[in-house]
Formats: sequence, structure tokens, C-alpha cells
Amino acid sequence: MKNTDDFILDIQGLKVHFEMKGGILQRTTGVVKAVDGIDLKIRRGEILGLVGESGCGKTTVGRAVLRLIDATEGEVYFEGKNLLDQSPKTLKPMRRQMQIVFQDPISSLDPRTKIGATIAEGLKVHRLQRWKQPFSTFLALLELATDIPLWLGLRWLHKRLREPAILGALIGILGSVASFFRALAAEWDQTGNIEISNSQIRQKVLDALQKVGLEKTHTNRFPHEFSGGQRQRIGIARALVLDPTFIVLDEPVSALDVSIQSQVLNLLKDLQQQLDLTLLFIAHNMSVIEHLCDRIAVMYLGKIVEVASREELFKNPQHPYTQALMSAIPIPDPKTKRERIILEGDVPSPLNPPRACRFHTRCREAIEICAIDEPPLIDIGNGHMCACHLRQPEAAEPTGDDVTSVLSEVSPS
Amino acid sequence: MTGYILRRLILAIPVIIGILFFTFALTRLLPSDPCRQQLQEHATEAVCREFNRRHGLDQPIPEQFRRYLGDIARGDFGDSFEYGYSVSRLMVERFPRTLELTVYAMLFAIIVGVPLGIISAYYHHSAIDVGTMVGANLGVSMPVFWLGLMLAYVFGVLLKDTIFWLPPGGSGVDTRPFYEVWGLSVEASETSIWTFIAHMDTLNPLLGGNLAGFWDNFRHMILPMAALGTIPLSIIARMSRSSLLEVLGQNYVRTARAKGVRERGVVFKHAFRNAMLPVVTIIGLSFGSLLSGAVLTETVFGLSGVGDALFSAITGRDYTVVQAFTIVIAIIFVFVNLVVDILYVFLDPRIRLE
Amino acid sequence: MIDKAMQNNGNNSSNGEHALLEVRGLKTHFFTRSGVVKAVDGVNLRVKRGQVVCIVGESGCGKSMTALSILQLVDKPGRIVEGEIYLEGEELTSKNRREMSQLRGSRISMIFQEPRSSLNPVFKVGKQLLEVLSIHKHAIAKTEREQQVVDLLRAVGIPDPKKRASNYPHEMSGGMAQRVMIAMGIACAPDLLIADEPTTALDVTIQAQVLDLMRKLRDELNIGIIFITHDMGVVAEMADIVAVMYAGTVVEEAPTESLFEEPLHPYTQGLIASIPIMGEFKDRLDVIPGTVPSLIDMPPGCRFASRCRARIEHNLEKCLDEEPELMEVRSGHSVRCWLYEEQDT
Ligand SMILES: Nc1ncnc2c1ncn2[C@@H]1O[C@H](COP(=O)(O)OP(=O)(O)OP(=O)(O)O)[C@@H](O)[C@H]1O
Ligand SMILES: Nc1ncnc2c1ncn2[C@@H]1O[C@H](COP(=O)(O)OP(=O)(O)OP(=O)(O)O)[C@@H](O)[C@H]1O
Ligand code: SF4
Ligand SMILES: [Mg+2]
Ligand SMILES: [Mg+2]
Repeated sequence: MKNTDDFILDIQGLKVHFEMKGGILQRTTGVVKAVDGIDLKIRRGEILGLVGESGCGKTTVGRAVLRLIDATEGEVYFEGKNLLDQSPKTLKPMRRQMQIVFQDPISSLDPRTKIGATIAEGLKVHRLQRWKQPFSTFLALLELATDIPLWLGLRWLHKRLREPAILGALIGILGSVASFFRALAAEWDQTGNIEISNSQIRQKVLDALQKVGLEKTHTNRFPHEFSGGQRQRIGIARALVLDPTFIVLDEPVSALDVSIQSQVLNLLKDLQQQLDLTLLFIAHNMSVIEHLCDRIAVMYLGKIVEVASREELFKNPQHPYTQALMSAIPIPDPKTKRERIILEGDVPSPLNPPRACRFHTRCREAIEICAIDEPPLIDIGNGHMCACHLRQPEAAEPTGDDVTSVLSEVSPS
Repeated sequence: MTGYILRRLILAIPVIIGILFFTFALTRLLPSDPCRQQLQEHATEAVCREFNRRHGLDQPIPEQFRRYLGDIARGDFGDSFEYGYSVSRLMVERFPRTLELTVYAMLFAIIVGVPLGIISAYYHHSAIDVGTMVGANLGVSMPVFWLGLMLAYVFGVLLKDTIFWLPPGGSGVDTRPFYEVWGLSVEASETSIWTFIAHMDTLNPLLGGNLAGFWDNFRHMILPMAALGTIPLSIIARMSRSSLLEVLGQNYVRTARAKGVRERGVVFKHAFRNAMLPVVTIIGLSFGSLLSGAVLTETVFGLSGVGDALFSAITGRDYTVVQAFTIVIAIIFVFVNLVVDILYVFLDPRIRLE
Repeated sequence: MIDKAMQNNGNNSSNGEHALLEVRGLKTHFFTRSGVVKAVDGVNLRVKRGQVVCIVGESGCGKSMTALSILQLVDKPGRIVEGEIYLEGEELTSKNRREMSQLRGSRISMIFQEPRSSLNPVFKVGKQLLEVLSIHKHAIAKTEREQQVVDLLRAVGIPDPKKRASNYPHEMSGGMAQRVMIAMGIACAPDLLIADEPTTALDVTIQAQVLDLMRKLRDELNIGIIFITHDMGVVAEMADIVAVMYAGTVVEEAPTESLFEEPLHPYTQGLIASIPIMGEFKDRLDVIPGTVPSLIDMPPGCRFASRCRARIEHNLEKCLDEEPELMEVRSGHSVRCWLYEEQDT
């Protein structure tokens, strides 16, 4: 059993609001409350699933945790240190331990870099940057330095030689030397096309590719030469190659066929077991969630409405939104037809979320109080957390929104 | 947005002071001294002591720098040792021509470079593409002087007596200041904005409605403009091409086609704006090197602009002039880059100035 | 519904009536530095009006390329090297650019796989949606078109559609961008809608809503839909006919029920066996062992042979030498596998 108090990540009161701007002066026209106050703890070596309606803020949570976007409010502790307080310098070593697989793989891949180099990039980034920076500065100086004597030399020659052709030839030679370096610098900047030379790095890259079911020959292809699912796997390989301790996976298997999807899920599970890897796994496919995750958090419109262990959530979903979600899962059998809970009413907007319980506008069971008071996320027994007025703990007394109490429940076997 | 612009401007101040300090130090580090360079064989001990006293060069260097900063803060760039009048006046006399040359070269580079890039990207791997790119690669590797001299030789000497002849040097006829033509009774002092504009060789006759004068002056600009603009033109053409090629392979371009947008709309509406993003950055960056290139071009074509003044200022150790011109170039550079950054926000909604 | 599909599927292929879409022997190859990638290598496909044909198959097997070939949108260095594509009897591969662009968006439209990168980052989504209408429905007044944009966004379940229309793509969540793509695909009520994994970024409740919307379109406007997906649950719910692809070819084609009841091709069997089933937790999920052979040098024989257990069990020699043809084993159920030839003879 895992140490229940060993939290690798602890999110407290996280809020991320986006200002919608419009007009020439970029004035604020509205605020999208993408994430509006969530608490979440993730144990070391745990796979936490995050599900919820499209647009409810899952990706935003993932990105805010890695500080890829700025949080409006709240704290995120990673290994006991508040990430949101770190300076770029102290953040850097922490960043190496945390990786993210983006929802939209193609936008996160550099179109000009072959994917072998893309995957290797993280491995060599240190060594490269150490001399890439001074190198380009050096070239810029060199360029300047060749310009000045050229110019002074010209003036001097101009006085003595009146024949433009001789002069031209002389300067032409000098100029080509300068521009050769200039071109070199430009090339260097443009193509991130670093050959993977180091055999150790190369081996790691190939291993990572093979683990996600891609081939050796794929390393020298560009991102647009792959299928959607292949690109998605490149994203996973890139994150895995760095041996992180924590990964945010944002819908990492949505474009994979079931066989390769299973292969990737098995791989993730192995890594969790062997290396104590911790994952925040965002997905829409509930059967994938069920097979991979130890615990599941359900989000609705910027809030967490339910957190429970896998068995609990799938056997005994409590929040009315979770119940609707479960009933809408398509079943891979054309003969079974199921009674589906159709969510009535317009989908509310995070620009102007409903007051009190955010689900009350569409909830079948809503009562008066739902539109007046916001239900806290409380333990309703067995460590099952739920934010709903109609779901109270059996032993009457609400425990308040104390997250830790939930986490002391036994982790899934 | 306004806040951002203000912050950028404020941040530019230390940069400019840094440049100030740097040029100040550099001029003092040059061997020889102003007195000896200016007065040559007349520079006796006594004369120089007087010269130094008059220009405040007898003070310790930190004190000189302090005074200089104070003067600058009051908008006074000091007097030139060589010309004997204020540097501001010299600037108003010389700078307009350099500025015009730079702007013409930039426009030339953009107006020719961008379409060339688009054509070669669109007809990727065709003869047009290969030809343009060979040309562009030659273009970047040709130094301004050499190209300038060749152009002057070809158009000014070889093509003499043909309709293609272009003046290989100097500037066009003097034209009446536009404010006089307009009958404005402005007080055009030597450092006023009126004089500054009136010193623009082509803008002044244009404002004054003197088309012949404009044409004559413009003709004198053509070769320098082509010489100066060739390098940025080649860079812009190459950049536009590779950027457009990349954009044309993007998924959203495919979406546009799938919507039934015609080819022209695909290129000019959907791809163009995205493709121009990196090009705009390059344009901003090359503005700086254009300015310094303009200085060189003037030397080749015998235009008396900043370049001419700067050269004699360096050889003559005319400290104030060197410093003043460097600062102005630095300020323009900072300003152009700010404009580019702001332009970026309008071109690319993903960028936010914060 | 499925009954209807079965009837539609009856043998009217031989009588003069045209299917909505007919793809014959399509081959799309990429001529790359390291060799010819045979992404699509002999695909046949038929779609009738009022029918949903689902394409499933291994990631990278050429589903998207088949779809793009139908629209003639394959980018260089790719090219359709062989095959014919008929849209209600009209041949498409011989059409010129202009004729094709008139068809696209109005008669055939496509919902792309990676939604966010398929939207232009510098234009507002409303504007991009409006563009489709402006191209193909210029007869309608502008204000009405703008109203339609909002209605379309609402129909695909985007909250606050009026405000959202002025969002840029990067300001939307993955699922919202995907719904904008869907709205774009159905905007002009095309005859043929090609949806390439259109619901991957949607949660199941919104997915259900979108699937309902598509079914409604199919029934009301009698359109044909090609639906590419990996979600077997969605297949079971949507499809009339399922085509299973493997390494550039269709290896099995069957009415949905028949396919789920008795998948014939060993690949299909493996695929269906590896579906994780809700409520039946397994610590390790089943996979089909082995990998697809490289599309650059496909070995002779059956493309699945190297991973096929049935071949070993039945000791089939032929599989390694000769490629089987797609043969109809049962009414409407065809498969490309030597196993069934053996049985027939
Ligand atoms: N950069 C941004 N600017 C403005 N709004 C944004 C930005 N990024 C996200 N949003 C908004 O924040 C909300 C949450 O988005 P997020 O991407 O986190 O959703 P999600 O839960 O990941 O949804 P999906 O499942 O569809 O990917 C959405 O309403 C979205 O429009
Ligand atoms: N430009 C290209 N150059 C070389 N090979 C390519 C290129 N584009 C695609 N391919 C290859 O063609 C094959 C088919 O790609 P396609 O996008 O059709 O796959 P898919 O079936 O849609 O897969 P997925 O389910 O992962 O989206 C892939 O193996 C891919 O690697
Ligand atoms: S043809 Fe042979 S190898 Fe191919 S699927 Fe059938 S049995 Fe297996
Ligand atoms: Mg998301
Ligand atoms: Mg695909």
C-alpha cells in the first residue's frame, strides 16, 4: 500500500481566469473563469484521472500546474515547494521532473525539426544552450567587426584607387567571408535540425519510440509526415524520454486505435509500478479511465464536483453530473441500448457561470437550495468526496471540505 | 497596452544610457586627441590647452561624462569641434537624407522581396523559385559597397547616353523649402522641424508641388536605394518563401481548401497573414543594420548624409558628433522594434503584450 | 435503424443507380527521400445516401489519407497514383482545381482530425465559420448568415455562442475547437460528410449530443457520412456499415451487427478483443502483439501475416506469398483473408 500522506502534488484554491479582450485597444470584454477554485492532492506513484465536460477547465489545470500559464490565485506545491512562487531559475530544475503531453500534439511539435531531434531535445538542451548563446553573440560581433574595418579600409582605398573594379574585387572577397558567417548563424538559428550523434541519447530516443509502437526509421521524418495517432505517440515518447517523476497527460490516447491504446496504457501502468511515476491523466474515454486510474476527479465548469477511488466512482457515482456522464458512455455492442440521462437546458458558460451549485440549471434533482448556496466538496463516507446538497454523509455530520480526510482511504489494490 | 508601451519606453532609457556610456568610453579610448586631429600642425601645447578648456576636455573624464549627461538631459548635444556649430544643427542638416535613404531602401526591399518570396513559395521547386533563390543568396552575400560601386559603374558609366542612365552619385537639385512654397511664415530656425523636413531631398519638393525637383532628387536616390536594399530584400524574400512554404503545409490551410476557398484566397487570405509574422520580425531587425548600411552607402555615392559626417567625425575625434549620432541611431532602433512588437499584436492574436 | 441500413445495403449496386460515393482501387503514395510510402494501397469504398460508414483501423493505416484523397487534398510529396472516385457518378480525380473547390464545402465536406491546428490562428472562429457560408450561400443576406453561424455553434453545444464566435481558436478548449470544426462541416448541409475522429476531444455527454445531431442530419437530409473513429462504442452506435482498414487496405467490410457478432478477419478479432470493457477491470489490457510492417516495403502476401495467429493455427502457407482479395463471405460481409477461401472450397 502506498504511503497515503506522501503527496507529490498539492493544489490549493487554484483559480485561473482569462480576460477576453476585444477592440483595437484590447479592452477586457469579459472574464472566462476557466478554473475557479479547486483543491486537489496527488499521491506519489498514483494515477489520478481528471474527467469532465469539454471546456470545464481540465487542460487549464494541467497547464497551470506546470506554470505554462499564470494562475490567478492559489498555490501548487510540488514536492513541498510552491511552484507558483518559484523564480525562473529555481523553477528550471523542477520543470525537468515534470512533463506534459499536450492535447493537440501537432501544435506542440516544431514543424521544422525532425522528430528524432525533437525527442532528443530535452536530453541535450543543457549542453546545447551552454554554447549556442555565446556562439551567436560571437557571430554577431564578428559581423560587426568585419564591417568596421571594411568601411574604414574602403575610405582609405577610395582616396588612392579610383578604379572601382579592383576595389570591388577586394571588398567582394572580404564581404563573402563576413556573409558566410552570417549565413551560418542564420542557418544555425533556423533549423533545429540537430543530428542525434551521441549514441547513448540515440539509443534512448529509439527505445522511447519503440515503446509507443513507432519505428526506427521514423526519427528522420518531420511532424507533418505522420498520422494523427502517430503524432500523439511522439508526444508521449518525448515526455517519457526525460524520466520525469510527474506527467500531465492531456488526452494522450484519444487518437489511438484500441490495440495501440492498450499498449500505451499498459506501458504507463508499468512505469507507474516500476518507477513510482505519478500521473495526472485527463481523458474523456471512461473505459480508459477505469482501466488506468487509481482515483478519479470529476470537474464541472471550473470546479471539482466529485473525487473517489476507481471502484467507488464506477460502482457508485454520486454527483448527478457524474451519473449523467456515466449514462452517456457508448457501449461497443450494437444490440445494447441504454437509458441515457439527457442533460436538459443550455450548457452554461464559464463567462457567466450559474450561481451557487453550477450544475443546478441542468440537474434533474435540483431543489431550491441548489440555486442559493454552493455545496462544499465533502466526504460522504468511505473517502468519497462529493459536492452536492443532496448527498450528505451517512453519519449526518458533514466533515467540511477537508480534502486530506478523503485521501486516507485505502488505495486500490 | 498603453502601460506596456510606457514600460518599454522606460526600459529603453537604461539601454540608451548604456550605449551613451559605451560610445563615450570608446571615443576617449581612441589614440590621439581632438585637438591634434582637428588642428593638425597648428596644434601647439598652448593652443591645445585653450582648445581643451573651451570644450571642457581638461576636466577629469567622470566629470566630463556627468556634464555630458546633464547636457543631454536638457536636450543639448553640444557643439561640434570641427564645424563649430551645434551638433543638433548638423543633425538637422544631415539626418533627413540618411533617413530618406533608409526608408526608401526598406520599402524597396519589402515591395520587391515579399512578392518574390510568395511567388517562389507558390511555385516551389520551379525555375522561378530556383532563380529567385539563387539571386537572393547572391544578394545577401554582396557587400553594400561592392554592389554600390558596381551599380554606379553599370548605370552611371556603361549605360551612359542611354535611357537607363542613372546618376552615379551626388544629390539632385536644391528645391525651395516647402513652407515657403506654401507661404507659411514659420520661424524656421536651423534646428526646427520645418528645416528638418525641408532637408528631405524628395519629400520637400513633393510637399512643395515641384514634381520635376522630386523626380531629379528621386533619380539620385535610386541606385543608393537599390544598393542598400538588396541585402534586406534577399533576406525578406528568403524568409517570406520559407515561412509561406511552412504555412502552406499547415492544417488550417488544408481546412481553407476543404471549405472551398479558391487558391488565391487560400494564399492571400489564409496563409499570407500567418506567413508574414516572422517576416515582420526580420524587417524590424534589419532596420538597424539598414541604418548603419546607409552610412556606408552614402560614402559610395557621395551623398552628404550622416555617413559622411560620421566618418570625418571619427577621424577628427569629434567626440560630440560621434556620440550624438550613435544615440540617435540607437533611439530609432529601439523605436522601430517597439513598433514591430505592437504590430505583432495586431497580426497575431495569440501574442499578448504584458 | 439498422434494419433500414440493411435494406439499403441490398444488391442495387449492379442496377444503374449510382451510390453517393464510390471509391475504386484507390492508391495514394508518398514519394519521400527514404522511399515510396504506400499510405493508401488499393481501397474500395461505397457510401449510399442515408448511410453511415465507419472506418476503423490501426493508427497510421491510411484512414485520413483515404478521406483526404476523396477531397483531393493530399499534400506533396503525396499523390493519388491510381483509382477512381465517383460522387454520384461524377469522376473526381479528373476534375480540375476550380471544379474541386466548388465541390468542397458544399457537396463534400470534412471535419478534420486535429481540430485546433485545423483552425486558422489569426481569425476569429465566427469569421472562419462565416466564410463557408459566404462561399457557398452567397444568396443569403449577410445578417442571416451571421445568425446561422450563431445557430450552428449552438447546435453543436457551445455555450454562449454569440460571445464565443468572437473567440480566437487558442482561446477555446480542445473540445470547443472540435465542435467549431463540426459546425463548419455541417454548415452547408453537404451530400457527403467525412468526419475524421470528430469526437475525440468531447466528453461523453456532448459526444452523445453531437452524434444525435449527425444522425438527425442523415435522416432529414438523407446525406451520407463517412465516420472515422477508434471508439468502438461510437461505431456500435452510429455505423450502418463498418470498414476495417489495415496497412493501407480495407481488410473487412460488414454491416455493423454482423461485424460485432462475428468478426472474421484475424485483425478485427484482435481489435475487438482489445477493447477495454467498462466494469470488467483488467490489470493488463490485451493487445495485438507485433507491429505493422513498414509501409515503404510491404512484404508480399497478407499484410497482417507477421502478426496473425490464425495463420499459424491453420498452418496457411499462402499467406506469406500471395495477397488475398476482398471476398464476400456472407451477404454484405466481405473479408480479405485466406482463411475463408479455404473454407469456401
Ligand atoms: N488562452 C485562453 N484565453 C481565453 N480563454 C481561454 C484560454 N484558454 C482556455 N480558455 C477558456 O477556458 C475554459 C477552459 O478551457 P480548457 O482548455 O481548460 O478546457 P478543457 O476542460 O481542457 O476542455 P476540453 O475537454 O474541451 O479540452 C474554456 O472556456 C476556454 O474557452
Ligand atoms: N507526408 C508524408 N510523408 C510520408 N508518409 C506520410 C506522410 N503523411 C502521412 N504519411 C504516412 O501515411 C500513413 C497513413 O496516414 P493517415 O494519416 O492516413 O493514418 P490514419 O489511419 O488516419 O491514422 P490515425 O488513426 O493515427 O490518424 C501513416 O503511416 C503516415 O506515417
Ligand atoms: S490471410 Fe492469413 S495472415 Fe492474413 S489475416 Fe488471414 S490468416 Fe492471417
Ligand atoms: Mg482540454
Ligand atoms: Mg488520421
